[in-house]
Amino acid sequence: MHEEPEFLTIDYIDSAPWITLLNDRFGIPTESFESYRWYQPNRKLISLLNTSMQPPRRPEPISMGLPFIRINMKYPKLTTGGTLFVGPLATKNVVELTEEQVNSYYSRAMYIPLTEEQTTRCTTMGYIILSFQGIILGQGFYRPKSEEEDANFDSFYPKAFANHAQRSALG
Amino acid sequence: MSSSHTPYPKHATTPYMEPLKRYQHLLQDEWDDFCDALSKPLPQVLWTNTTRLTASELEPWLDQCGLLEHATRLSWSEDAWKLPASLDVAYGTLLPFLAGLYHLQEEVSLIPGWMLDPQPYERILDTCAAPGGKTAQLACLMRNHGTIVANDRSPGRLRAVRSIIDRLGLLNIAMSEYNAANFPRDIGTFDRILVDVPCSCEGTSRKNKRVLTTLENYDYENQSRLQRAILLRALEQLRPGGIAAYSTCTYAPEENERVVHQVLDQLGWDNYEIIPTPELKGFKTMPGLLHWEDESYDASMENAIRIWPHHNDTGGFFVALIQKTQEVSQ
Repeated sequence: MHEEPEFLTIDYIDSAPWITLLNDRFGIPTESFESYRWYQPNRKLISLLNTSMQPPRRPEPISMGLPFIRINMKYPKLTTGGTLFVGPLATKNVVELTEEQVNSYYSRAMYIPLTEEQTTRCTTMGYIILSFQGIILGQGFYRPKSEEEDANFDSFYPKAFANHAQRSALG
Repeated sequence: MSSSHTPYPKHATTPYMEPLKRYQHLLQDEWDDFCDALSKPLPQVLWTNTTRLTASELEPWLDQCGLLEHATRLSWSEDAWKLPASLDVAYGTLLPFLAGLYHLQEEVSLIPGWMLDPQPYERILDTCAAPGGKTAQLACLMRNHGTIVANDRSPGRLRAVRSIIDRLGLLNIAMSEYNAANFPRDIGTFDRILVDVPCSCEGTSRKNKRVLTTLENYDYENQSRLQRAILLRALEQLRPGGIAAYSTCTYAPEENERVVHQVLDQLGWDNYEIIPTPELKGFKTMPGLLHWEDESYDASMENAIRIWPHHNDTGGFFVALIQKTQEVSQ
């Protein structure tokens, strides 16, 4: 007969501070995360798991769930995968891009200009979630209009994912 | 959108086809059709990330990218489209792909996961998961619930799995890096197991033209030894009533029917059975072989399926569904 499986005991973390952070910056409702668990595999990362995950104790998993927030930085930042996942729930600091801006974003451009109309849901300098026709693309860093420059953002599209084909992302 | 049809060698009349001539008698008068199919590039298939949107919701995006007018829904899956190989499109650089709305895979590669039919909240093992397309398909079919242990021996290849998890937003995958032929017993039992083993990859020659050139003096016996070890270990970890899908992308009976037959011989035919595969609507399959060279296989091997490229304009594939009928003393 089989030995009883010994599922890995996962030390879930207190998600409250992170949920508050996401609510403060992006207006993501706090109750959105009730069906998930939060896990910190190392000092750099928090991952999001479903509540029914039963990983084995052996072989010990080298990763579990969706890498969600990078925490080894001054201002913790959603991963691109995390942004794609949770972005549809964001209600502020979300910017709808034009087709031209989409291609700039996928080319990892910096100082991409934004119109005033595009920044109506932005609050302060910092992370923004980028979308095109309602589809979440990822994250950028927003600079509001100042005396020196118009509002703009830097693409945070990951180098590893970058669009090397130099074609439009819309064909 | 331009057309770029890469001219392929006329396999039937070149030494390139030599390694496959051992299958000529299986195909008989279909041999020329088989050779013709292999001389053409492979269509692309994209499938909807159903954890994020429905196929109907994806359609306008395919239209916007100029794909929809060329796309045909798969006859057996409403969530996936087939696109002609002649389209010069970098599918992996388009917005709907980058935003995780769809994933790309060869049509036959979707079949074992679909046949395995994983359910939400089940515990699933994918023994040889990299590069991760099949794992992702399982995760979507499970609606991001339950557990998939996605294992592979190669850390480098597991990076590809991780990248798919990120882009598609998959929460139910635990990755492990282990020799699948030697899992520890306390990994636990699984409701379903995908055993998509490393193989000679003969069936992938339409996308990798070089694969057939590597087959001269190919050691099928050595490869099948590893395949048997992986399948054996996987079947031991099935819960009673659980189902495993054994699959390869090769035509070689040494890596297909022989592996399944020998492993079930070892584990006992009373404890496991090869069960019929669900029908793939509008998709032609052939039964597993009962004889190869001087060997005979169990009659239930007819429940396994062989997929030949010329029947559905795909690559080649083999799938056997094996159910554990009762607990086995170890």
